[in-house]
Amino acid sequence: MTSIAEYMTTQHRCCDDSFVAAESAVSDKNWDEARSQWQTFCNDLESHLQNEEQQLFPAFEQITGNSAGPTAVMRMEHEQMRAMVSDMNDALEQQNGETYLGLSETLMILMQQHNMKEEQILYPMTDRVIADSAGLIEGLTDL
Amino acid sequence: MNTAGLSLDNIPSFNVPMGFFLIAPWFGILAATSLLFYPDALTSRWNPALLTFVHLLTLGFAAMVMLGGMIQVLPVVSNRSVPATDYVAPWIKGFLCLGCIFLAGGFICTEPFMFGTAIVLLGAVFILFLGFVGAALVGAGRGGSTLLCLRLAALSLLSTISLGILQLSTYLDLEWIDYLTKHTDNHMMLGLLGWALLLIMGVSYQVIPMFHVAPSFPKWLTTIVPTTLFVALIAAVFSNEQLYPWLLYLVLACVFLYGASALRVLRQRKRKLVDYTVRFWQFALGNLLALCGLYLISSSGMDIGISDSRMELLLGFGFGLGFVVSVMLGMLQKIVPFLIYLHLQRACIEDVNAFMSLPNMKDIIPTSRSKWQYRLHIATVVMFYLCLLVPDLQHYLIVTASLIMAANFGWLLRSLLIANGIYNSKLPRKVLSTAS
Repeated sequence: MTSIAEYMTTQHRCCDDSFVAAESAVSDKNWDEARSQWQTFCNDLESHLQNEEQQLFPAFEQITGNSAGPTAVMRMEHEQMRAMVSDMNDALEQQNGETYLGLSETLMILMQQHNMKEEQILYPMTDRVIADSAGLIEGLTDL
Repeated sequence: MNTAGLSLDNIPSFNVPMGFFLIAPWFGILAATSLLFYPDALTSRWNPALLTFVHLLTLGFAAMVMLGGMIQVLPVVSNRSVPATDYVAPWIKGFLCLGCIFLAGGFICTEPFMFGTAIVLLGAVFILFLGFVGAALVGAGRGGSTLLCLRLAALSLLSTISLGILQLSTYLDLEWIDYLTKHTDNHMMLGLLGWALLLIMGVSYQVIPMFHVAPSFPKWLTTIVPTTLFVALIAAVFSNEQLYPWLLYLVLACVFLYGASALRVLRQRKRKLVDYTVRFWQFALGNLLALCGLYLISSSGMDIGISDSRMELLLGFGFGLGFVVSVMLGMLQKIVPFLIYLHLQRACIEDVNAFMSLPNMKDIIPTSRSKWQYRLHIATVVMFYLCLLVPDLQHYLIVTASLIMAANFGWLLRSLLIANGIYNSKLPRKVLSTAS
């Protein structure tokens, strides 16, 4: 049976793939490919964040009775990522490769350290406290 | 449930690690300059001028960066806040600076007063650091492989410093122990293969997958290799002459396994853009594997035309400059811009205008600047290898090597100063006035 940690970690890796492909296409000035990969990334990222904010975090908060703890930190980081994604959208629209790559370097590290914290601390905690993890996964959107 | 590691509120203020990073290059420049005054320093590992150079580089540069970095990462990897960092760190930094200068002066002038002062200052640094960091490491509970490596590295540092201070005491006729070259060998081995390598290992397990979108290191390897390495090193310190070489082979196997697996993980990274941190890692790990081969050849007794004393220097320089310093230079290209970005982002959270004009990581240290850092560093390492491989020309080559090395650290200093300037100029006025 897939654990919450495994399911959500797979979604992180999936986002990495389109993110890296978009970055590589921008570096090669292949703008059509970059737009297509970037769109895939944006859709996947938003679905993943929604999975967490609408399903996983509320379930965790309800059981632990704490909505100002780790999930609040993660929600704040989601907003930071969304702000950066919006800046990168603008850079891509303007075909400004230098700005895009500078921002993507920053977002990539922001995202990776966020993922690491979720994968190493938060997801294992959710697996421990949520009894019906299979039921919860059933309600999540696949990428 | 301990979730302190999730929050960035636990990390120390930016000035804490940056204070260490900004002082470190000065010691690199000082080390390079010292060779200009003593161009025959590379004749023997016991030459006082070489001891000066080595300690300026290992304590003044490498330990300065490592202590700053460790203070920075500890709250994240130990999953708990580390209190009083902002107050203790300046003392550690100040004592390390002065201790290093007195130690270098002691070697150059053979002056007991300088050695005595160095013992007190450096002893204070490491008591403060290990007390402070040790408490956090012990209290962190069970952790991952990075925490294991940091703990073993801290124990190695304790052993390195204890042996160093005991050896130093013989210069003062304190007779705490007898002066033995074996103690110096152990001091060097624990410092380089224990403290430095274990720390780099632990950090790489986190940062290579994180910065380069690479797969994680194999789990078995991240615990077996550092534990075996540490046990073999400590066993070697206490072993007899028969067992010693076999334990060193075990150490060699660990070093090789780590180097080969790190290169493999890097090769499997998804992000293939030109990245000078990756190139620094590849260069460092390539050096590490080459040195393993060199050690194997030299210990097998095969004659390759390099005397034992030059072989010792070649292995020492290769490991210190070619591996440890390469990793540090590469990591600084990535960690400093990221820390600046993180701290600015937190400072600007309530100031929309400031938030809109946040610099991205490549504004802080552009790729072109990292490229020059890489070129200068490669040139430095190649020149030092040439100095040792072509002894007839050593006197002339060492002047060029020293000048390039000074330029290398000068370039690093320039990059860090510009980055620090960007941080200060982008900090919102409200935060600046609160800080002052």
